[in-house]
Amino acid sequence: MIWIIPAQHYLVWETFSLDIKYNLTFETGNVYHLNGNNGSGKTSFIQQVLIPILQKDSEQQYIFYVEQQIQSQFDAITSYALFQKPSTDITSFDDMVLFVLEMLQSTQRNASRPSVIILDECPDSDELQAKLRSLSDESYCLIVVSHKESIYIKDRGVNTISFNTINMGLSEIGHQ
Amino acid sequence: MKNLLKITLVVFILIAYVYISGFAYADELVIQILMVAIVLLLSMLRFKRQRFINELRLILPFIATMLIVYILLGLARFNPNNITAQNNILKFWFNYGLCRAILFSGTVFFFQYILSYITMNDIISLPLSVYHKRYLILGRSLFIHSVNNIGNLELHIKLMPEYQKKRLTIKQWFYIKLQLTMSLIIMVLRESRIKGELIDNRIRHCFVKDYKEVI
Repeated sequence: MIWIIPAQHYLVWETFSLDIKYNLTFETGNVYHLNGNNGSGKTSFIQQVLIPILQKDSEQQYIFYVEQQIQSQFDAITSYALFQKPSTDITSFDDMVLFVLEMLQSTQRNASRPSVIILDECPDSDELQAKLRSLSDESYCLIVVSHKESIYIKDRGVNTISFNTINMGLSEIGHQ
Repeated sequence: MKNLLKITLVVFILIAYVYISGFAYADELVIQILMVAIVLLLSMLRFKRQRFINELRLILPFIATMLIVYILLGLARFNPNNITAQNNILKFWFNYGLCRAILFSGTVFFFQYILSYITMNDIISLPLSVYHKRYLILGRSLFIHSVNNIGNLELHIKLMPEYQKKRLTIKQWFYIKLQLTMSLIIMVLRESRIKGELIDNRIRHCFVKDYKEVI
């Protein structure tokens, strides 16, 4: 499956815009590395452009997003887990991501769809890496934001999407 | 002194609003609608559009639930005021519920609107010991943190696989709201512990005299 983010000027915050020069395509089986300086808009792109566009057609795929600042996500998922029968105790990052991945696999059994897995400066987790490697490549598209070499993209063919800061209020996005 | 006057004025306006809307004109539908319209207009002008919409979206389910409960009371012909005409029981409960729902939403928005005029500097400059002020500082800080993070908490709950579909069932919709409320509580409890320790630590180092007095 292919997802296309149309080329256009996106006003993501009141004082910050992202300029996508060419259509960005994301495809199952592929791994994408979002690369750019701090403040170049990688997280803004994910939260304000990519996820809202994917959510417009919410039954096309499952989105699995691990946020850079995981505390809110941790609280949200802890709360969700408490309402499950039996309730699950989430105490660590590994617990959280593995719980969501298990939920994803369980939901996949009833309604199979490809997944878009987005890891935004996600801490290295051998368990998460092992879990991702156990999934069929064609079942998901992996998008990774990291400044250093991430274990999630190590030894994999990676498409790099670069974020270039033009000025304080504008960044350009394009394939490298 | 200026800050103290400002806080006193804010508290006075709050009390006056609660008295007028919650007691004096609690059952006057026209006045309630008028008051909530003014409060919503003021909130729209004061806050960013997205924040206003987010808060409206958060509060609407509670208003809908309140109205449903009151209408159910009417349909069940619950008649505490001994209304004689059967049709008037439903009308009474609808009118009563609508007034309370509008009152609730108006009060929530008005509190947010008026409290937004109190800054952290106003609290710090109050003529209280730092030991007492720390509760106000922590409360204000937790309030800002919660308001800023509601959208993010909701995003992560809605990204749970079972909720990623076009049409959610009423049960799922209800559970999302419950989980959102629970996640807010979890977040506030955690943040109060972390921020409380940070504030105490800062006081320990910057207000040694006051801190010793407390100990």
